[in-house]
Amino acid sequence: MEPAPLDPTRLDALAAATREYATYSSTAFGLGTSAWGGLLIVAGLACLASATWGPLLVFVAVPAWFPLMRSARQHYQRRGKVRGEEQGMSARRARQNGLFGLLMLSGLFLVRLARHRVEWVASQGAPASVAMAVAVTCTLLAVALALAWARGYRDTYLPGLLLFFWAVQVTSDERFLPASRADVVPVVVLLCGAGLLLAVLGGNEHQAWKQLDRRLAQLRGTGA
Amino acid sequence: MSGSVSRPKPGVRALLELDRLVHEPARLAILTILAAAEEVEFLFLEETTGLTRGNLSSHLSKLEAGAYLTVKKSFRGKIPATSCRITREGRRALDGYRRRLFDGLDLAE
Repeated sequence: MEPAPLDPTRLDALAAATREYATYSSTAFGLGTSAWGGLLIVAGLACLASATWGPLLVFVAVPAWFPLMRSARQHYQRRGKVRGEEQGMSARRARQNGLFGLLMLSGLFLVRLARHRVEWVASQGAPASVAMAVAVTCTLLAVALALAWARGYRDTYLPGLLLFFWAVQVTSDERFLPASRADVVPVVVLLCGAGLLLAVLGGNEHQAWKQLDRRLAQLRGTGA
Repeated sequence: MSGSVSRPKPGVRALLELDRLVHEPARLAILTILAAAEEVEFLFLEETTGLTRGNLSSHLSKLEAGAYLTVKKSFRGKIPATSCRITREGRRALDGYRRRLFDGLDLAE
């Protein structure tokens, strides 16, 4: 069906819809953000369930999010990929800065882990060894996935901030794993709060995408 | 019969000077989409304009021949992917077209 795009209002709407659609390949994830929020809530609740093994789920959440984010992005780009104008130099710089920050934080965390490894294992035994192995694997995996799949600033800032926050949390004490459940309660509240906020934000973005999808269909003239 | 030829009014002249390559509705829609992004996949153009593949390819070829856009063919895994990008000339032509059209129709943009 041939479009009738000579109406100037319609052309502007087409341009606006294209710009908005392009954001879903970089900054806006919709369900990807909700997934991040969900992972934070699950990790927070796991910390409450087990002070020893729960915190490890926070490390697992970081690399686990990347495939979810990628799936969400592919879902939103199913009408074809569009790279937006704003994804030029400034976005490239933001991505590079984010990746640099993630690499630095991961590096510092791994160095600190290596330096205190012996004393942590001595004070907590085998669980600390396993926990550290999981933390190192997840950190390295998160960095590799970010290098491969990160497109916008959110791809690097979201995992980077959590990794930093959690690295400070688990390495600021004399032991690697929290001693008791009471130690992790403030962190759980913070994680669940942030998770809820992100879940809502992602839900709103998803609603905006559904409206955009309808608008694109109407612009095409199918109304479907 | 008088020998004098009447000159077209400025508004009419603007319409007569419209770029024919841009003036075709499908090509106008394609350029409008491309001008709003840095790079657009063929699939998005196909989905948004509602043109058939053959029709869309034909319009893209004409715009490419006029140096209004560039077409990049690549592979995503084993699937071929075609992306289009508007050139500076294409952007200028689209802006000029809109200006002339508005002048001709006596509309303020």
